[in-house]
Amino acid sequence: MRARRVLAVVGALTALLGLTSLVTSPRPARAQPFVPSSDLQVLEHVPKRLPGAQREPSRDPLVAEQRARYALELYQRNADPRQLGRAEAELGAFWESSQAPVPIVVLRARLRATNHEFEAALGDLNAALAREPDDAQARFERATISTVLGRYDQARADCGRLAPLVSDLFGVGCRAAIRGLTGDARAAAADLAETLGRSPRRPAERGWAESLLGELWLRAGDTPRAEQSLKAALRSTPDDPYTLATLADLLLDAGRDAEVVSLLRRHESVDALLLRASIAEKRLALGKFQAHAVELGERFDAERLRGSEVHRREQARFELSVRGNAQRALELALANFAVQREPWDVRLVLEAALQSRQPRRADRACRFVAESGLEDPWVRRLVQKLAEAAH
Amino acid sequence: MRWWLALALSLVCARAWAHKPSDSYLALGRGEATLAGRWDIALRDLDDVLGVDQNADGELTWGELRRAAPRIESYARESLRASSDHGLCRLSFGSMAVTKHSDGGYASLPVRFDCGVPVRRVRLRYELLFSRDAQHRGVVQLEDEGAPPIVFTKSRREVELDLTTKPRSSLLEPLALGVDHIWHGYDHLLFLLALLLPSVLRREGGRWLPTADFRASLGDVVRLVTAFTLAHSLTLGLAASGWLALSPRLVESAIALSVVLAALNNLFPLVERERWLAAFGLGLLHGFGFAATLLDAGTAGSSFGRTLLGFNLGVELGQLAIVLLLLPAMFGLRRSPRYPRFVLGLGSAVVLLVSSIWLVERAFDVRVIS
Repeated sequence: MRARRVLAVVGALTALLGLTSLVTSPRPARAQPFVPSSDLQVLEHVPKRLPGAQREPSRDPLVAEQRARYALELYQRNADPRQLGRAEAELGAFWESSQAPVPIVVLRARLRATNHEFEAALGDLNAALAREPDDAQARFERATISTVLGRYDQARADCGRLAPLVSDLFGVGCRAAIRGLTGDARAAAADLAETLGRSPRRPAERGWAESLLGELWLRAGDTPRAEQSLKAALRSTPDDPYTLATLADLLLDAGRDAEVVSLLRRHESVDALLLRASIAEKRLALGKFQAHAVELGERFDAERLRGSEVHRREQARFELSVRGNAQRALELALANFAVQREPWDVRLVLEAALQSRQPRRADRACRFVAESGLEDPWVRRLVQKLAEAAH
Repeated sequence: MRWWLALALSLVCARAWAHKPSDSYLALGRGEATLAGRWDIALRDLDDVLGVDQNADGELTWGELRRAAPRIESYARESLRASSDHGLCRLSFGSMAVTKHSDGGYASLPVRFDCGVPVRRVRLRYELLFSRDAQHRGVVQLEDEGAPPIVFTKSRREVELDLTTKPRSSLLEPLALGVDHIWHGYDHLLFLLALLLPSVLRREGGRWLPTADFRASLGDVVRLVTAFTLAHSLTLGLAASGWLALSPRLVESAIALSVVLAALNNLFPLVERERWLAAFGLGLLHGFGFAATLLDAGTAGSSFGRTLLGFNLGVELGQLAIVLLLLPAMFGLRRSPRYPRFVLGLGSAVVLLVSSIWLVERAFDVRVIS
């Protein structure tokens, strides 16, 4: 009788403990609407601005172009995608028109390329160049897009036509970007460095060239020089998201995770940079990793909800390096590789195929590496490993 | 409390300026002649179009948003239209709240289209922000969860909704929600526990003694549970139909406080005979909490009476299950000399501890938006 009672007490206490342990597990975070209790509660940080700054898109092509260009510059500075939508809206009626002035067509191409509508962008650029064969901006854009797509012959031809139209730095840089991807990175880097040192440059120009130089040294496998160039680029253009991402990747590859966290501390609002910070935090087992991983997951979910596929490269990397879901990463990486062919696009296919033990599915990417002569050391190493895994 | 506030502040700073393309979220339920639900619009977008941040200090406050409510409503009215073969459906707004999505704060507008007479089809036209942000999208989620959302874009501004294919509103779904809320809404669970623990005892001369028989205990439990049920059904009905509204933070804090009080009363008995009265009073509070869950589930468009009935039945069933589980065990243990100290005392102490933490958390609002 006594034993039964003791047993019952123990049972009841266990049940209680069970209950309280339930309590400590977090409730699912849902977007519950609520009414703030104080008028002073700050709900959101918004850009400071002058009253009356908002207006309708202009019908004057010069004004429209100028405003759209300004929004695009803001986007390039802080990677806020709302600015892309703004730029497009500022072009208003000119967005659909085939008769739009050439500078607007070129701008439209840039916006489309940023949204990964590469074919539409090339269509715009072809039309613009048919009307104005010596439009340097259009040449440069078409060379850049062709490079991203891995169409190096077209890119080379455009760089050749561009050289006499622009300063030496852009001419050399245009060609160097292609040389860096096709087996000539070291010599291209030397040429670009020499051109850069020849005369003083504006900070934006300097930043662009130094960032490109950093990438070339990376392709050539010279990490110390790459780091030096990327850091120099950040002195010219301190918050440039693209350069920050490239430097973060270099540090991640070198296992210098703590430096990644401090480099990106002020830049976590940019998805691509938050992604890299999270990878470092995961490796360092930092407390904020969980929250960041959840936040990234939410942002990708929101993007899927709106039916957008622009950031498949980042999503693939998120699945691979943050969530550790190699299978899902491989699907995303392959879909992305069908559109883009930069070293990271290739690398993600290779890594995901390797980790998910499906080396065959990287065949097309491996063929692309062989045909293009892409010499990124990481890509080379992965191709090697995949070849071994396939046997 | 200082470090807590500091943490909240750093969260605000870290999350500010999160970058995501502009989207608004429309959660809609289909009725016979109505479309109703919630429309979440990003505060950054509203500020951009309407200049909500009046003092232009870069910080958008609830006061500024509240004062802009009429302008926000008229902008929203221009941007969303529903029409049937009988003409435009009348649009009305509930009182604005705020919510949060992955990239920051949103205004959350309860919306309701009334087409007058039952209709088969409604055309929904969406014009928000496109002239300002060509990449903006309107994401519409209808009540049937799992179905892919309808997405409005600059080049797709109109869709036709079929009001006859809507999933039939069943009693079962809200019922399950109610049961689930009792079993996973731990504050209600703990409150019940604190109420029930002393039911197998009686107080005499400042000491706890076991009740004479099962009938006495059962009678006490029935009184308590009935009082609690009546009270929360009353406020649940009133709040869910929009007759009464309280700040959720206030309600949540008060519910935590009610659990604290119930546990304290077990440890230092103050209310003895009229515990059912206390259960009734605190039950009024819990009803508001239930209503928040029900409204959050986005059932506003479907047949409201059935949803309310189903949800309330679910809550009662969940509650009954707990009583049936606990009462026999407690009754069997009541004569043990350890019951007052270990089961009642320790149990109430644990409840007190947990609910005090909730109270502090909720009262000082650690879940900071933005």
